[in-house]
Amino acid sequence: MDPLLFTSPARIRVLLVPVHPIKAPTFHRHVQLVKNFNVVRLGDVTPDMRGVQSAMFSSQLFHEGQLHFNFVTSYEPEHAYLEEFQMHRRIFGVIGIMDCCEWSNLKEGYNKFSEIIKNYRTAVAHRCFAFDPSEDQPDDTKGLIMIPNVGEMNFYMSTMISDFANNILTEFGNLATDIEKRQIIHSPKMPTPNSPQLQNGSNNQSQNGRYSVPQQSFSSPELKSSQAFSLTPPVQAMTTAGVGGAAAGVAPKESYHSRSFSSSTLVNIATQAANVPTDMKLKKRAPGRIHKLIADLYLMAGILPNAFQNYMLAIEATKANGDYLWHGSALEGLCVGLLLAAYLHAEIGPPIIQSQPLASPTSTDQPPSSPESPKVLWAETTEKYVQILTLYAKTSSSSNDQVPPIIYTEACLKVAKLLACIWVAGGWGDDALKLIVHGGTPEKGSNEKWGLSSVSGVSKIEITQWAMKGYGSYVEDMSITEQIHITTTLSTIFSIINLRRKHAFFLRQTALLILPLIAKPRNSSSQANKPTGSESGLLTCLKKITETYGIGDDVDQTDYSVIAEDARPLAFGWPDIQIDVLKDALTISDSLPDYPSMVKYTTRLLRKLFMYLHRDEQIRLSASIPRIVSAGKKQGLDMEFKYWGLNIVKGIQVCRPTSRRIPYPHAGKKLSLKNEEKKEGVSPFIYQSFNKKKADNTQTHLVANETSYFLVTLANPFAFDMDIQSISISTDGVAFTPNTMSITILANTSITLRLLGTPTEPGELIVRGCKIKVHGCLEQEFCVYLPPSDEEIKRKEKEEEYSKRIKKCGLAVLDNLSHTINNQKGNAQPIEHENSQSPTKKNFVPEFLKVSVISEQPLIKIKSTSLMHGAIMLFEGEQAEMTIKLENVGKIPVDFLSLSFSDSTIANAQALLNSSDMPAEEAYEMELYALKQSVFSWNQKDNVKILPGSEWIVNINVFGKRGCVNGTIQIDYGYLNRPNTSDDEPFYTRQVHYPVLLTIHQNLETISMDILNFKPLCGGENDGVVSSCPDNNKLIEDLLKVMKWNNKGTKEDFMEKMENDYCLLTFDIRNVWHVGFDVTIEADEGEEIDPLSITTTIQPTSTARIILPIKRISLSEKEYTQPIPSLSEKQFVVSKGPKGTEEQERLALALFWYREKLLQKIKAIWESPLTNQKGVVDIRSLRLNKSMLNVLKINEISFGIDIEDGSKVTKLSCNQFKCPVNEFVKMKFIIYNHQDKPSKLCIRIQPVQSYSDGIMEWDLSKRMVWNGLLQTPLPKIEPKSSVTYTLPICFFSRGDFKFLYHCEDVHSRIMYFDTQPLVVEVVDN
Amino acid sequence: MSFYFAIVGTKDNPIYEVEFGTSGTKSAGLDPNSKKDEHRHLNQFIIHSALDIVEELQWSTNAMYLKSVDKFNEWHVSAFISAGNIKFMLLHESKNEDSIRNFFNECHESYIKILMNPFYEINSPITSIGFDTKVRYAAKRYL
Repeated sequence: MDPLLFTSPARIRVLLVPVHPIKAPTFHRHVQLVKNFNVVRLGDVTPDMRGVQSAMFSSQLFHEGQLHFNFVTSYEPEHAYLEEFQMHRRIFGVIGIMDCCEWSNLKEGYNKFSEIIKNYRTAVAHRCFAFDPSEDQPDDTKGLIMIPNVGEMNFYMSTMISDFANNILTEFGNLATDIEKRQIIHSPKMPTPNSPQLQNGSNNQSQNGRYSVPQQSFSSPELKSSQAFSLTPPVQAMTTAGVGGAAAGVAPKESYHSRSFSSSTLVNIATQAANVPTDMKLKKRAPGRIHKLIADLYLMAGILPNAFQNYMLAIEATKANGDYLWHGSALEGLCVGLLLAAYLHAEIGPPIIQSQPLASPTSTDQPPSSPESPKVLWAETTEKYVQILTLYAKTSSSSNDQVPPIIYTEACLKVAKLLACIWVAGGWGDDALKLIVHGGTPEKGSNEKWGLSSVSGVSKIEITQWAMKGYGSYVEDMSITEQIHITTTLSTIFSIINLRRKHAFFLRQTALLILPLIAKPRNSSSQANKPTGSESGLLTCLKKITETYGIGDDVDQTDYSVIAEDARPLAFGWPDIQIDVLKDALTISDSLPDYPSMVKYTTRLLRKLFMYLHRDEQIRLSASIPRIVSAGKKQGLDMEFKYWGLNIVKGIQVCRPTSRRIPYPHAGKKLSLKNEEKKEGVSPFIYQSFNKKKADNTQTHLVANETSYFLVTLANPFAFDMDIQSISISTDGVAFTPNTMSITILANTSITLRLLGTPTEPGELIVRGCKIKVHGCLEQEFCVYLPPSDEEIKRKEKEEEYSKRIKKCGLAVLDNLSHTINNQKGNAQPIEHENSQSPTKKNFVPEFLKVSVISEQPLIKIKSTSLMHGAIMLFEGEQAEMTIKLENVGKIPVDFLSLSFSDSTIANAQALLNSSDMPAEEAYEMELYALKQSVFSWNQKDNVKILPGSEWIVNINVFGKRGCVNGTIQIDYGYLNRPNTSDDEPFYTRQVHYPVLLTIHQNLETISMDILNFKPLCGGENDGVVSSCPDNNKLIEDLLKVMKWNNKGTKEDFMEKMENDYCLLTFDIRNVWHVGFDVTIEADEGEEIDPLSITTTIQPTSTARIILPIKRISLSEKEYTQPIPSLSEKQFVVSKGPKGTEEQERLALALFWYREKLLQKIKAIWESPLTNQKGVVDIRSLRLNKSMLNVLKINEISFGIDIEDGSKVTKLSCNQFKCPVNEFVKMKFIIYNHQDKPSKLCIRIQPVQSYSDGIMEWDLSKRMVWNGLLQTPLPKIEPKSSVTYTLPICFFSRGDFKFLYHCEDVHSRIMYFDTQPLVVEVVDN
Repeated sequence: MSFYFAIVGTKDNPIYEVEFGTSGTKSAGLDPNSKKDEHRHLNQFIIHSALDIVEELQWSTNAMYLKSVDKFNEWHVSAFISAGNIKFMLLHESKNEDSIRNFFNECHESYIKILMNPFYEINSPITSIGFDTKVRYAAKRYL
């Protein structure tokens, strides 16, 4: 029923009532059937041959006219007071619909129908249609019309309806007669006196109606109860008026009906009857009103010419006496008539022209003045309506005859709707007229343009203005049903003209109005939980409302299974409003109650707008969900639903296993760990920037059949605690057994969980995400989503840019997303639309974690060690041994074992090396200490095989390294020789670490090294012969035995053994411990000489001086000038320190190399007889200096002096001679070349006489003579050979003569000196 | 006299809202807070539904000030549309076109200044206190 159809005044309202029992679907089916026949051409109306009286409505003159039935299934008595004013509101006919299947005795059925129709006293015609009669049911009941379901049903039906129409038209005649007789006709009056503004209290009286029966109180009391909601087909409706008077009129002509205008009538209002103010005035006005009413009847009867005629009369009359209300109403009727005439346009001409002369004198509005140009008819109509509204508005000033607000509103809305219809039909024309006359849902899309439609000439603005005019504040004072009608119509209008926000606004208004009506039946619990049609309609409303406000179902369309949503504001809409709307939706679905949509809206509210909601509200909403679910379940609904919130899984990581379980990959079986290391060492670059070291951290391997761990970060953005009933890892790929756990995430927090699971076979495991069951929801998979890639973002930006350019704004944005035009036809289209949108929507690429699962690995643990508490105490340099007992606790054997070690010193030393800029020799020392001295060492054994459950012992040597406090033993192990594996396959090892605490005590220290010449500087009394046999090992050994530690030998022995090739190395060893140690020093001089070994006991806190004869060392220049090597693969850095002179550099190098040579020779071992500990003494702390070096090294060129002259010359010591005076002696200078190359030298000799007081006498020509040159080149000296330069000399004078001499290389100008000058003591014979 | 002023972005999202003037004459009997709240919500709904008309009207004129575009009961909705399709909506009771035009112009000027802030993103809520004061001042001056 559409009360606001523009042409509704021209329709005859017929109530279809079910004759119970009848099933609702059956009833509705039949209603539909009957509704097909709502238009009857006047020419088809069955001629009624009865009376002549009512021929006025059955005239065949205007047989092109049409009769429009308005078949309704419900009737609101609320507007009964208007029924006299606007007769189309009245029910003129009742058609009972009976289902023969339900009735055995049709007679009884008919009786029941007869009962029913008593309720509708305004009805002037009744029929009872009995559908689907069975064959055995006799068609003998009087008044009952059997409608067979076979044969020409349509024809039969149309005949019946025509007959019915005839009946009604006949009754119209009677009605008209009645009306004409009335003397007073009252204006309508709202029944409720509390209505404010527009009708303040005054009763609407008609003054001089001619009606003999002016007022009548309600005959049926039900009116007040008003319990029948229009939402359900009423079982019984009620009427205000009594059964009309006799329908006497019998029309001679064909279609013709009379109406029984019940004397009782609609001017119901009992109360008003009392105070009729001015009868006279009413009486005066009556004629106009009668004309108007008659015209209404003509209009309904489809006899337009007559209607026009009467309207004109009415307008004239009402205008004359200022009866604004009726004037307006007559104009309205006239407009309807004109439109109808336009609709039947062939017939337009005559009636209008006919009416024109009547109209023209009356007023400014000349409706028919433009019969030839119907295009402007709508404009005329609107103009006229402006006038009508003015007229209505005028009534408000008068105390009487106020226009009921509903009339005013309806007038506005009718115009709005009319215009909307024109707009949507694309302009004035048949299409528009059809819409206007028949109503129905217009098809959209034909006129979806911005702004003014050039075609229709109707602007949306105009429509809106009309529509909004009808929605004044007085609407709030109307009854709910009226308000619902108004808002519904408004929303329809706005929907038609595609103003979606307005549409949604009024739709929401409607829903809110309906709400209290719905709430009632629920409270009384009489309602079945099955949603009725109206409820589902309401839900559809909600859907549309939410869509317009940007929170429609499509925001949820990101299927919950892909929970990619993060907390971000909605792209569209007004949050405050959205919250309101969703709350309204919630309230409405709560009162239905519709649990699924309650859940839907609650979750949407939380999901989309939680950031705008207060904490308490969030808590309340979330708490309501389980309640709703359980309530829904009680009703037997399937209330399992998916998790609705935002993605709570923020990240998944494979947890690295404990260090002893980490498997380390290796390339192939044949490459042992060490080889790998070597390979790396081969690379010429110390730092390779391109060679990304594969950090093991990046890849974690899981091991089959072992529990693996995953770190999952969960976040709860809401202000309530989230109860997760179960959470487990969901995977793809190889088989995996996850373990589940449950947890509660507190409000607004995130937590990191450790989830377990066991992969059961090797291969690739894809960790998809988590399977989570949030309390009250279904279990679901949650993934982690990658942020959109750059490209994606760019593309989106582009799109946005584009959409900005084409100025899609406002709700058009929604269209862009996935707005579906409510095109009923296009149902398929929107789906496609959405699909095409979905790829752009799904920017979320789930991030799957790929983890490789390797085959089973053995597992070893250290069962025991030989150490106490993992600590060991050692003396510096001590060698000890420890054992580790391993046990295989895994399930497969171990056949590969490799140990590596680290200790605390290395890191320190490295740090020192890297940081400080120490001299190269220091650095070398440090490196040696750090790298070459290892605390731990291990003798690898082959054929390791540790079966599961068995044990294995590993022996490890431990060295007491100075400064070491702890160390780690790392054991790599694996199972390499598996069956069915090739050699090239990568394999994995695991590691066990064993930390060792070390305490290193210093027991001995070596200090104060010196190197001395064997040649004593001062002469002794000894006149022994200088030994020239350096290889006399025996002697030296003797010497050493004598001279060593206890110094027992005599000085003579020294002298005897004194020898050029040896020097003395001395140093102290101090025992700083409180136990004595036996120290053995070994000096290894090479192959030909047995190593020299000395053992001594050093008592606690005492010091022993060690004196060792060491063969002097000769290094070639090449050897001692090579740079100091570096043991670590350290990049060469140019020394930042001050660079020494060349000599200094050379010296430093020489010191370094000689020391190395020296230290190679010496070995010192200590032993503790008490504890049976032994170790080495650190002698590397000894340092050389330049003077020591001079002693130690054998010069490239060395000298030997001899004086040859028989017996008179004595050699006091090296380079000291005693020589008689005035005797010729031959002085021999022997020059050795130790170099590897021949050398050409020049010798210079300078004799001087030195006095005891230190004065030197240089001029010796009077004191001595010599035969030869003091300065002369020598012959070339071959490598490793010598030349002798002989200088015969005779001393004239006694005293001490000193010979200073040196050689100079003629090429390099290097001068070579002897260690001591030659001293000759000249004495008397 | 009370006013409700909102600036609405291109996505129907409010970027600025303010109410001035006295309200509460109607809420005599009821709890003033809830009534006020309700009223505020209704204001928002009215403004929102009037956007339809603004979108209709904006193509039919090249003036930025669209005058009174909609009427809801006794309330008028005046609109002003910026070049960037930002809608300034004012809900008011009495018609006074000139002063409302001035008010809108002033607000638009302030808005332009906001726009010039490189850190301001179009369509994002305006949180500037300075803007708020300016708008209130303009309201005091013109409305």
